Amino acid sequence: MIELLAPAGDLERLKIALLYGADAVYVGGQDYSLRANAKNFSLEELEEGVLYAHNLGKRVYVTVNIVPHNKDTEGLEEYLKKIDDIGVDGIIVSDIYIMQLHQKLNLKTELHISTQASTSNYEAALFYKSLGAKRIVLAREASKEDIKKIKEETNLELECFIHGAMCTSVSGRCVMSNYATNRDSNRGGCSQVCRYVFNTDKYDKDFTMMPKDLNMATYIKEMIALGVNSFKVEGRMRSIYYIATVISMYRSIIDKIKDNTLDLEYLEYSRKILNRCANRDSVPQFFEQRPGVEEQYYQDRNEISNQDFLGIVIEYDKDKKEVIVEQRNYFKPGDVIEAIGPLKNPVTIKVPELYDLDNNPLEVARHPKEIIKFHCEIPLAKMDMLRLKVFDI
Amino acid sequence: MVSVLVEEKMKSKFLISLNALSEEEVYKKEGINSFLLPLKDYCVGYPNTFTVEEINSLTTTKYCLVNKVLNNSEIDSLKKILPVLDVKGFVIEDVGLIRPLKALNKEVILFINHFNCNYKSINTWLNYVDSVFVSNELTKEELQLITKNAQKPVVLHLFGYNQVMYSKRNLVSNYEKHYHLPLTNSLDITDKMGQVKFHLYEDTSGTVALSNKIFNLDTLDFSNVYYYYLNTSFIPLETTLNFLHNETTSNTDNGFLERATVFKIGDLK
Repeated sequence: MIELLAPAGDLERLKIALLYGADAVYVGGQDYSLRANAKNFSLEELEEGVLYAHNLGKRVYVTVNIVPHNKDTEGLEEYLKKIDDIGVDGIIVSDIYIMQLHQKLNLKTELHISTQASTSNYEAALFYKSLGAKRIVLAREASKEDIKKIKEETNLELECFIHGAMCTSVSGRCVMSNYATNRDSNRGGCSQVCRYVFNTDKYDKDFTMMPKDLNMATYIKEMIALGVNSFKVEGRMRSIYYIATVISMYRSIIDKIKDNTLDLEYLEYSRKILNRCANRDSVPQFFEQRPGVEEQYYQDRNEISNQDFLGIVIEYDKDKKEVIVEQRNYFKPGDVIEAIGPLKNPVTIKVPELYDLDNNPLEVARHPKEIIKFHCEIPLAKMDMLRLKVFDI
Repeated sequence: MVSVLVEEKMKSKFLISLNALSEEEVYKKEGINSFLLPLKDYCVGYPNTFTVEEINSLTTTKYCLVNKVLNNSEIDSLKKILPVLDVKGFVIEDVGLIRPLKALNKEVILFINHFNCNYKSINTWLNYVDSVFVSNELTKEELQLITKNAQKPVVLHLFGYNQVMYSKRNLVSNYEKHYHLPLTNSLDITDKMGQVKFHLYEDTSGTVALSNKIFNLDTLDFSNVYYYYLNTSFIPLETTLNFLHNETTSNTDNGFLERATVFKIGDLK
C-alpha cells in the first residue's frame, strides 16, 4: 500500500487535499491534538469530512497525540468512542494510556503511533505493535537504514514525513516553549522558540537553531523500495494553496514512479515548485546522514513572501468559455499565469481582459477575495487554482 | 530563589547522578546511597559519562542511565553491553529497551523526558516497568495527584538543571562552522528581548538545551516516592553540597510547581 497523506486543518483543506490527490488526510479534533491553535474539527465537521473522504474511497486519521495531564484524561474515553462511531480510519497517538484505551474500548479504528513517540528502532516498534499498533509514524530522525530494518523486523505499516517544517528537537523532547512562554508544547501550545533569534555569550553573531524544511521528493522511489507505506506532508495550519501545490506535486511524483516515467528533469521542476511554495528552503534531513551546516538557518527567518497564488476558480461556463475567479493576489491582463487543478497538469494562460461580475472592465485584479471573470479557451473547473507562472517543466 | 529543607532521613530516598567516580564517597558521607551513572556513548546532556568498567567498579546501589533516543544499531550494541553491567537497574528513555531488559531481571525505570504527566498513563507504564520519572513540567497539585494514585512508587525531580530540548543536530558546532568560529561544545543563548535564556551543550549524540535556573522541588511532602532525583550535571560539587546542607543555593527556581502551563492561546492570561 502506498498512501499520500495530507494535513487538513479544517474542512476546506480536507476537501482540497483529497481533490488534489491525497489518499488520506490527518486532522485534529478540538481537543487532544497537538495543533491546539489551528481551527480543527468539531465532531460534526469530522463526520462530514469522513463521509466526504469515504465517498471518494479515501481515509481520515485523527490526531489524539497530546501528552495529557491529569485533567486532560477526563472525557477521553467518550471522545474516542465518538470518533470511532463516526468511522475515522485511524487515531494517531503518542501516550500509552490512550493506546491502552484503544484496546480496552475495542475500537474499530486503527491505532497509529505518532511521531511524538520518536520511534527510531525496531524494538520500540515491536513494543508498540504488542499494544495493538497497526502503523508507526517514524521519528523524523530515522535514517534509511533505520527504516529498512524496522520494516524487516516488524512488518508494520510505516509512515514517514516527506515534506514540511521540521522540529529542531527530537519530537516530544522539547519544552522550550513551556519555559519561554508558559505554553505547553506537548499539548499543542508550542510557541516555536526554536525559531527565535538569540544572542550568544561568546560571539557577536546572531544564533538560531531553526532547521530548513524537509523535502524528500528525490527519495520517494527509494522510500517505496524500503517499505514505507504512507508519505506524510506536514502542515495542518498551512494555506489551501500550499496544500494543493505540495499534494499535487507529490501525487504526480508517486504516479510517475508507478508508471516508470519519473525523470530528473521533472524532479528538478518539482524541487523548484516545492521550494517556492514553502517560502523556505527545503532539503532532505536525516534520511542519508545527520543534518549538517547547510541544513539549518543562522539568521532570522529567511523567508520569501511571494504572491504566487492569484485566485481560485469558482465556476467555469463551458458555453461562454468564461471563468469566474475569487482573486487572492494582484494580476492583470497580459500576465502569463498557470492554472493547476485536481489531478491535471498545469496549463499556461495569458490573462486576457478582466471584468467584474457587472461586466465592468478591470485594469488589474487588485482586491483579495474580489470576484472577477475573464474569457478562457482552456476549460477550467471549480477548485482549480491560478498561480504566477515562474517555472517551465 | 527557593529552597527545600533536606531532612537526613529523606536522603535514603535520594538518587544522585555522578560527575566523577570520586564523588561517590563524598555523597555517601552525606547519607546518599543511590547513584545514577550515565553510560558512555548512550547519553545526552551529561558531560561526564562512564564506561562499563567504571560503572562496575562501584560497589554501592547504582543505576545505569541510557537516555538517548536509540537507532537500530545502538539498540543492537546495547543488547551486548547491558548484560555485563553490574547494576541494580536501568533508567531508560527509549521504550525499545523494555523488552531486552526484561530478560536481565533488573529494575527498569522509565524516564521519557517531559512525558508521564498523569497517573493513568503512569499506571499503564507501570505494567511494563518498575518505576517512572514523572515529568518536571507539572504543578505541585498535579504531582500530588500522581503520587497519590500511582500504583507503584515513582521518581520525582528534586534538584538540577532541566533538560528542556534534545536534538540530534549539532547545533553549536554547525553555528560555529557557519561563521568560521573556534569550535566549542557549549553556548549560552539569550533571546533578543533578554527574557529567554538557555544553555546549549553538544556532544557526539547531538545537542541539549538546559534551563537557565536550577530546579529545586521546594517540598518533600509527597507519598509514594521511590526516589527524589538530583541531576548534578553542570553543577559544581560545592553547590550540590550546599543544597544538601540546607544552605542557600543561588540561581534556583521551582519550575512549574506554582505555574500551570496552558496550550490554547485563548487561555493565556
